[in-house]
Order: sequence, then structure tokens, then C-alpha cells
Amino acid sequence: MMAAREIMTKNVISISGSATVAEAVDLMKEKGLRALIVDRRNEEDPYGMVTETDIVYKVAAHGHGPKEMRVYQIMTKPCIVVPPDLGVEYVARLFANTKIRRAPVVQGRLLGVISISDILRKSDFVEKPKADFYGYGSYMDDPEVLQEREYDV
Amino acid sequence: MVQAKDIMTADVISISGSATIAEAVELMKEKGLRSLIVDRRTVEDPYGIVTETDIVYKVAAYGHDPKGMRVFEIMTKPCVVVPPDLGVEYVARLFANTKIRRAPVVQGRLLGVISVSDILTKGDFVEKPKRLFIEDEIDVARQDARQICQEQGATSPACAAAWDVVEELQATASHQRK
Repeated sequence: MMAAREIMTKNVISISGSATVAEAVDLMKEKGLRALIVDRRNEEDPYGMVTETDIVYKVAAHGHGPKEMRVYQIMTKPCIVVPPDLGVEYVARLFANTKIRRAPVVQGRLLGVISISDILRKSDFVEKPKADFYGYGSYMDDPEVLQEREYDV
Repeated sequence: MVQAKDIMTADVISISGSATIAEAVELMKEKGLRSLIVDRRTVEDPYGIVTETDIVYKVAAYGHDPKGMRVFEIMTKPCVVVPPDLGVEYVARLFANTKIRRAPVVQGRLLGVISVSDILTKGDFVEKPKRLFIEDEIDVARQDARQICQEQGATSPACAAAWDVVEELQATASHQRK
């Protein structure tokens, strides 16, 4: 099984929780990113994340002024983190169960970000499906799976 | 107001519901897309969509063989569609309320796809945030003003202040419409 670290995006950009949403949008446009990691305030502080979905759902949809709103008002913190050696199918399962689409890869420090796009594009789930990696029956029996189109954070 | 058709992605790729997931993944990788529109079977048939999230949540997460599964097993059909002249703030509100991130833009036929990324990178909500229901806010402010003026007198400072609020809202609304 491929591990998270093999397919994660190592180019991570972080932002301060006190930055404005307009600054976050600028940074995302400039770097072509769909999410930014929110800096920890100290070593014990958890990681946070702000995504394009947060900005569209919580700012644009309400006509709030992005120059007046701050990242900390819309971020997800603490966010779910993935250990670098977690198998890709487990990452997919974790994402499906928690209804998220991306997460920072952390071991002591921030190593990267892994997203559903990374899983789709860089993993080997098409060439080598691992049906027996976990003893589950048909996913179609699970009503939860049929309503996965949920807001991720 | 910037409309869906101004910021949508007009380059849309569709796939048949009977195609395999492996074919869908191949097509998405090749074209650099996060979703494919599922062909209508007839003109009356609704549009469907299959996204990378569907594939990761329902196939990869269970170790199912993408060559043995079909698009119709995981697609969303009918899916929410957006009319081309809907304002971008309304698209954002619709997406937030229905918890979706992308939708086909349809008027009679398929015109494009609009996503949260299009709204973020091509919308003007940062430069020109728009209060969606400002006309309703004006109605309420006007009702408030009338009541205050009736209770406190047409020449009272409170009455004048209440009408100032209405005027400010109207100015904002007319500025937004530009």
C-alpha cells in the first residue's frame, strides 16, 4: 500500500489566524492553492486549516467583506491530521468517514498536505485495488456512504 | 453582479453513466478535471455529475476495483443545476445551503460547470462584497422609519436618523448594482 507521504503535496503555504480573508484569497490565487494551513501559535497548539470552501460558504455566500473578516473566524482548528506512513486507502477511508477532502500530514512538524486530488491522481488505487485491506462488506449497504456530499469542515 | 456564466468553466467533459470508474479517473487525469458531467440519456433526462470526491469516498476508500465499477453506481443524478444568469453571490449561497462545491450551468443545454474555485478566483466578492438581501433590508428600515416618525413626530431627531438609515442602505444598494 502506498503511504500518505508518497503522494502528499510538500509545497505548503501557511497563514496567520489573524490575517484577513482578503489576504488569504490573494495568497491562494497567487500560489494556486485550495487551502492554507493556519500557523500554530506555539509548539502545543494544534494545526488549523482554511479552505476555498470555507471562504465561499462563510464569506462570499453572505456578502461579508473579506477585508474585514479574519481567518480565525472561518478556519477549522483543530483539524484532522494524517500521519505520513498511513496507507492511501486508509486516508481515503478516513476522509470518507469524517467527510473531509484534505488534511495536513504531520509528524512532530508539518510535512505536507494530502487531498482527494492527490489520491485520485497519484495513488495506485486503480491499478491495484486493495479490496481486503479492511474487512468491510458492500459499501452500498451503508446508508451513510450514499450521502457523502457533505460539507467538509 | 457578476453572473455564473461570466466565471464558469465552459470547457466541460462528459462521460456515459455506463463507463467504468477507471475510465472516469483516466479522463479526469488526462483533462485535469475534478468532475465529469454524466450524459443525459434523452433530452428529458436530468444531468448527473461524478466528482473526485465520489470516487475517493465510494471506491478508493473501500478498495473496490475501479475497473469493475460503473459511473452510474456512484454518480449524483439528478444534480443541482445553476442558471447562467444567477449572480455569483447567489451561487455561493446555493452551494453553502446544499453543501455542494460544483454544479453544471444549464439553460436548455449544458453551458459549463461552476465551482467554488471559480467563485474564489474569478468572482469579485473580495473587491465588491454584496449584501444579498439588501432590498429586503431597505423594506424593513423603511417600515421602522415610518413607525418611529409616527410615534415620535415627523420633526423629531429620531425620525430624521431613521430615514438616514434608509438612504444609506439605498446608496449601498445602488452602488452594488453597478
